[in-house]
Parts: sequence; structure tokens; C-alpha cells
Amino acid sequence: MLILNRKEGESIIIGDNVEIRILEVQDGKIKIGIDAPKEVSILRKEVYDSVIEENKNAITNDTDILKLFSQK
Amino acid sequence: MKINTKYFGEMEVIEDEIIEFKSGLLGFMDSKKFVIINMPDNPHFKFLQDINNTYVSFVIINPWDFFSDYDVDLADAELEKININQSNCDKISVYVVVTMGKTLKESSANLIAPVVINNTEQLGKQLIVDNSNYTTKHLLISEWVGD
Repeated sequence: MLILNRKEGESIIIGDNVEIRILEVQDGKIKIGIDAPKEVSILRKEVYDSVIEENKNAITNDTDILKLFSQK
Repeated sequence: MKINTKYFGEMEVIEDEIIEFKSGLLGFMDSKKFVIINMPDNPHFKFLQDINNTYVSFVIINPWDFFSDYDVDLADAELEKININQSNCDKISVYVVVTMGKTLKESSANLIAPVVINNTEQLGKQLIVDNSNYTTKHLLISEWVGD
């Protein structure tokens, strides 16, 4: 992993068209601004990871789940 | 062509019914081709079955069948990846993935990550709507779920 030191107001450029700017640092929280092309999806990693985990949960079924669906 | 399904054994599917997910589903990047299989006894549930990997079969629902006020803002840029734009945005289907519990009442829907399908071109994508208040787990609460 590349590690860089940045101060408030400073930026990082990734590739030709993604800019990440450190807007504010306060009480252990960092406010980040991101400029990127609209086709680049930007997600908080914990959300992305939670969807992957839930997708994996969703297929760990017994084959006998079919009986749950019968409407009587 | 014949495929092996997780819940119904070998099945015949028509090539035109195969839906391509160019980037797979999240966590299943190698699962790129699926078919939708109707649940025999229940019109509210379907399976999204990977045609090449029997084990990968998701229970999916139309979110509005269970969550009538479900409201998500699907990003134009994401929809464009399955060739959906303003002129053909009525040609999509939206599903959400269900994680089954011991009963239907204990089962939950992943409302933050809808699966969107371009019905004309049979292209699909799972989106994450991070700008919403939804999570990966919402219990199924429709009346008919019953006991």
C-alpha cells in the first residue's frame, strides 16, 4: 500500500481524473472530498463489504428451503 | 440448453432468457450468467440461478411486493452500464436478494443492493444505493407471510 502524508486542504490525484482532497481534520474524523467521473462508483468500504457478506449469507441455504414457500 | 439448478435439478433453459452480469454479483465476480426461475408454489419468490455454478442461486423478490414504500434512487451512471437511459428506463426490472431464515418471517431482504435488469438486452447489475437509509437486512413483513 502506498502511504502519503497530507495536510488539510491538500489533495491526491489518482490517474488522470480522480482527485481526493482532505477537507477537514477534527477529533479523529477526516472529511474527504472526491472528484471523479460519474461512472466511477464511490462507496464506503464497510457498506460494500456488508453487501458482499449478505450475498454470501443469501446462498448458504439448505435445499429444503422450498417448503417454506408453499402457500397453504 | 440444459443447466443444473440448486433446487430443481437439471432444467432446460432458453438462451434468450440468460441474463448477463458483466461484473458478476458482489462477492461473486465470476458469476456472470444467470437465469430467473419462478417458484412453483409462490408467485412472490423467484430464484436467480447462476447457469455455470449450481451452488450460486439467490432467492429474489420484487421489493414492492413486500415493501410498498421502497424508494431508491438508482444512479444514472450505474444504469448506463446496462444500457439503460432516459429513453428506455421503463424496460427494467428491479429485484432484491433475500436471505432465508428458518421461516419466511425470519427471512430478510437486502434493500441496499437491488439487482437491476435491462429486460430488452438481458443485462443485469447489482447496485449499492449508499445514499439511502436501507441496510442489507430488512425482515419480510407482508401480510401474506403468515405463520
